[in-house]
Amino acid sequence: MKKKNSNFIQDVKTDWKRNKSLYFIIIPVILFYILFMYKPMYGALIAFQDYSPAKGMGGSNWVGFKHFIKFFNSPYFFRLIRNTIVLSLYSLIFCFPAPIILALLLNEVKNKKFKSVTQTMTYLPHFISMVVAVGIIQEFCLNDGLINDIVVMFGGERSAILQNPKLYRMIYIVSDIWQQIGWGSIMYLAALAGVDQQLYEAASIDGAGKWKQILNVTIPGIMPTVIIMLILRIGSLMSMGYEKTILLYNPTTYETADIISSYVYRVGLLEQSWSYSTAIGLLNSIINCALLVFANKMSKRVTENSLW
Amino acid sequence: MGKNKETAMPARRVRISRGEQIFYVINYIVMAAVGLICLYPMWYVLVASFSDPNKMMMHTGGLLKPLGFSTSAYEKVFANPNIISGYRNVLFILIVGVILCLIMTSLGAYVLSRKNLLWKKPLMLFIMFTMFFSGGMIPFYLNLKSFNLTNSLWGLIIPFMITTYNMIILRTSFESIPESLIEAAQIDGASHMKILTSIVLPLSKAALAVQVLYYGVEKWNAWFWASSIIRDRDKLPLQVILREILLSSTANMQAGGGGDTEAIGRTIRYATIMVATVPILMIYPLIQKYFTKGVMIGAVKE
Amino acid sequence: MNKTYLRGISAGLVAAMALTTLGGCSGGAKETEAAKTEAAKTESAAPAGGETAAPAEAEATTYPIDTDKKLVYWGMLNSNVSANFTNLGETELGKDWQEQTGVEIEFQHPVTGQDKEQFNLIIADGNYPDLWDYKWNDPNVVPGGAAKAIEDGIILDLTDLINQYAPNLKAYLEAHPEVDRSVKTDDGKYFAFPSLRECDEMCTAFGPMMRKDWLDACGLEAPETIDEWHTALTAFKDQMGCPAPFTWNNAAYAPNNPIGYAYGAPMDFVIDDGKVLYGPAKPEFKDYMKTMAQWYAEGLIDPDIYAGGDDQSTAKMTTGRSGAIFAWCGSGLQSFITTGQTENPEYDMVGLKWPVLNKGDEPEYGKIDNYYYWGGIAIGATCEDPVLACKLLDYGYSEQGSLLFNFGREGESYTMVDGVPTYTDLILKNPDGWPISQAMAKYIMACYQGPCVQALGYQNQYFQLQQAKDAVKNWSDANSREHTVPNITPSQDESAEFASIMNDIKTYVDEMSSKFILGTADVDAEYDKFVQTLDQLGLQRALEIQNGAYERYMNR
Repeated sequence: MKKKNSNFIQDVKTDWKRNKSLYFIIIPVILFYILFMYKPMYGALIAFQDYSPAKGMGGSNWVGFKHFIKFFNSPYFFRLIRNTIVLSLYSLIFCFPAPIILALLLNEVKNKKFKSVTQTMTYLPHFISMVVAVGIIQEFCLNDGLINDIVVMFGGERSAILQNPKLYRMIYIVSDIWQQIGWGSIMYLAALAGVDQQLYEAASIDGAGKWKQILNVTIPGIMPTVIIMLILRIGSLMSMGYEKTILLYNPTTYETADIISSYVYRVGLLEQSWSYSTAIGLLNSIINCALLVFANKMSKRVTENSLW
Repeated sequence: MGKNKETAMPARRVRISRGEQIFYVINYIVMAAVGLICLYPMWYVLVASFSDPNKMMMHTGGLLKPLGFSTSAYEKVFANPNIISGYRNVLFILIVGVILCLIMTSLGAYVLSRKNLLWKKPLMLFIMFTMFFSGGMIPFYLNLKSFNLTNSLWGLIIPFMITTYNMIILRTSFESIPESLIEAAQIDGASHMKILTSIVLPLSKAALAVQVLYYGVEKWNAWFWASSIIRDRDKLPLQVILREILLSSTANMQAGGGGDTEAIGRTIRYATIMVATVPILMIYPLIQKYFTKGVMIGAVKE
Repeated sequence: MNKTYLRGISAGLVAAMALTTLGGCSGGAKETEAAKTEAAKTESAAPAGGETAAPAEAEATTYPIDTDKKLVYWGMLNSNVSANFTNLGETELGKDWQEQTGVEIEFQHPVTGQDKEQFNLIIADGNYPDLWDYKWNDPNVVPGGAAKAIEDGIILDLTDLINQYAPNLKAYLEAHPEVDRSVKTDDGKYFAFPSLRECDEMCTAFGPMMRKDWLDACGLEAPETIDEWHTALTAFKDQMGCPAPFTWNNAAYAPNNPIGYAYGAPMDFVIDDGKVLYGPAKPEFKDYMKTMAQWYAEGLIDPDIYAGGDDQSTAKMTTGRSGAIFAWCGSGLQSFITTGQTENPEYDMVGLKWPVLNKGDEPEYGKIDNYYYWGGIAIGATCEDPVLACKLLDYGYSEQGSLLFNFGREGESYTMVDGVPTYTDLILKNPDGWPISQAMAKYIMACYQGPCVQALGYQNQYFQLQQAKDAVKNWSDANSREHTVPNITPSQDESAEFASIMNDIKTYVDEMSSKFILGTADVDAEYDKFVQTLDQLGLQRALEIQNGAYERYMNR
């Protein structure tokens, strides 16, 4: 026991000697995190208070889990949880692989000019801010809008697309893919470029065809990147942003559209109940952390890649 | 390292099978389709912004070319004094912000990419934790206030110097730099700062280009905090002004009883979108050069 | 139509003005010297309640005030101002206001659409503006209402200050007790310099309207009953080939649906026989929903109402894809006609009376604003010189100030024609091609909200078309005032609870009413469950709170 302890101290000492300059380098980064990330976290304690800005944190009453219990008892609790999970899962299943597939396909395009033009075109939607993007979606989805025109062209019937709760998730996901597919692929294209070309040579000398090369060289080459991105994604599974939702939904689609973050935003804005919305946000954060730890553990076991 | 790029490229002369040929054709078609679908909405906004305002009002559905031609929307947009000050502010945030972001992110990513660091794991946890856990809006704001950063452009730069996600990505690409290069430099007596600036960063141009794009777009499109903390309107960045113009047709409602004001023309909204989006689109071609160059170097590997 | 803008401004005010001019020379530096916070507090310790002759006792102010102090203003910037200026201080109004009162003002404005967030953050950080323009009377925005804000030390209690240093506003309020009641808290405190409207006609600039040329072409009179509406809409569809006859901006105006008013059950609180009721919980709501569902099924209602905003409905109206709507008079009716006629010279609109169920009935329900239509400018608790702020803000209620806020700069934006201020062509036919609303916003504040009484003369000249003037008259011809909830506030303890209940209820009503109308939920089958759910969500408690607040209001 004693020996171990002294070993540890010994380790710290040698580490300090060897890496002192590295620790100095990272000081500004650590300071940044303490001042702008951790300091505000202390403020999240208002979730356990009836916070009033006039009284400040020091003067507000502590109420324990009151706000959490209120949320559990809310008539919308189950619907919110369900919608959040379903939308997140859809996004994981459809939005996550899309840029990878695009990157793999682009990687097979030989014509440099064609490749860079296509790439640039797919980046475009990312630069459009959310407000504008949703405006465009709404315009195209109108009863006499472009999408309905196309539906009619193929013999379908006009319908109010954005007012159909059954279509809401599809619109959300498809537009998400549209906006992020090109941008998301940058990461994977960079990873693909880093794959050692000699491996391809070696593979082709071994007589491997295109498919084999993709399977045995390309995919393993970008796997670490894919896994890291996947873990990060799972960790933020529950934190779907409110911005797109509150712009895109309307009363007819609340049934499938309303998610935790949009509810928090609505509640926060309409009621100014800072404590209540902080409590829901806190709950969300905790679920996120649990998911992250779980995903990381799974990945470590299965693929030996992990965040830490 | 001095190797010529051409010689580094593998001389592949593999016979292309029939299946592959079909694959290539389909691939080209699919890629072209994906590109066009991504492009179209922007094209729509472009042609709509140059259309005749009255004709545009009547129009529904898609557009391939402008309906009539008019630049009146752009004249109106550029006559708006908010747009000019918006440009000035967003450029300041973009340039200063991205430089600071790159410095801080590289420092963090470099240290975290080093091996044999005893405190690496706890440091990593310390940083990662903030991605999934945050204090919330009000505490964040009060924190800004305590540093006197409200109603100031610095308040939009300093608290956003590092995006954890980007730092982890940069770390991953720093890790792929061969350890032997760094060890050799260390034996030659180079300090870590020296290694970072003269070996790691030059070798990571591709990754840095990606970082510039990530941070650049983030800074350009950011609006939420700007709209929350800035009270002097001549300090507002462009996106906030854009959002305001887009929302102004519903402003009556929000003003409560204020009531009866004229809705802004549709073409003006499209012109504003163009004015606020085109400059950031320009960044990409500028960086693309480094991007491809960096990719080449990345491929050379020892 | 021939009333002068002065009509509503009381004789008391004129008396006060006379006093002001008489006592003019006593003002100046000495006065501001004495105008310290302490002075305000000690002097105003005298009882304010019994003072009926307040104007005589209130200290008259001579403008411009001699001071070198600067006050900070925070308030929303109207989109008609921001179209051409970065802040209010750059407009002619901003300049004149500072020059005429002698007080320098620094103007700060939140971003449109983010004002609530910034307002919250200001409250949270304690760095309050001196002149704080916001919806202080809206308990949804200011939790606990203005009374709570005063108690929490966010804004000042203005009761004594107004009695003492705001003779103009005081005189107006004394001449209009019903307005006076609405600008106070339950316990009789003043909290802001309110934005007021002069008369009923100005509170009804919103209502239902239809295509006049189509009605004529179909040989129909302007519809008055639900059945006649149905006939007209059907005719629009069948004879005029209009694909979506009835449209509106649902996100903004769902509670103001004229059909809902016809049944006396709009999606909002109403007052029947001195009791506050909730429209959707009234039995008539079922019939309202059935009518809407039937019309929707017949294709008379625009299927895009839940997706589009003002833009959408405006486009449909001006291009003949819809023929009936409810909207504002200026941004709706007037601009539809102007835009519609550029393509189709026949285009014409008519403002309809609020519909009723049976022919010959007088309209009972309709949308009408309160005279006190906007919270107004409060004085932040951290203000160093509240007396100065008070004097500055009182200016807008004086004769001169009223001219400034309603008509702008004499000889430039208006001229006196037979004693009536009349806008010049700089406003009405702007040489730079600015719309009237933008040209007005350069010179005046009454076209949105400000510390003044909005004058009828402004509205009459803003509504240029005869159709618009008639529409406003038609809309005011209803018993709406009786049924409209005045500016009541829940008590401080109930406020959060009320907001919380109503948030859930509104979400539910929005959702279910849309389902009823679109036919995805059957009204007959599900209405009882709908009412039950409302009760489960706490409707009875919300009504209890509202009725309590209403009683307190009536006792003010």
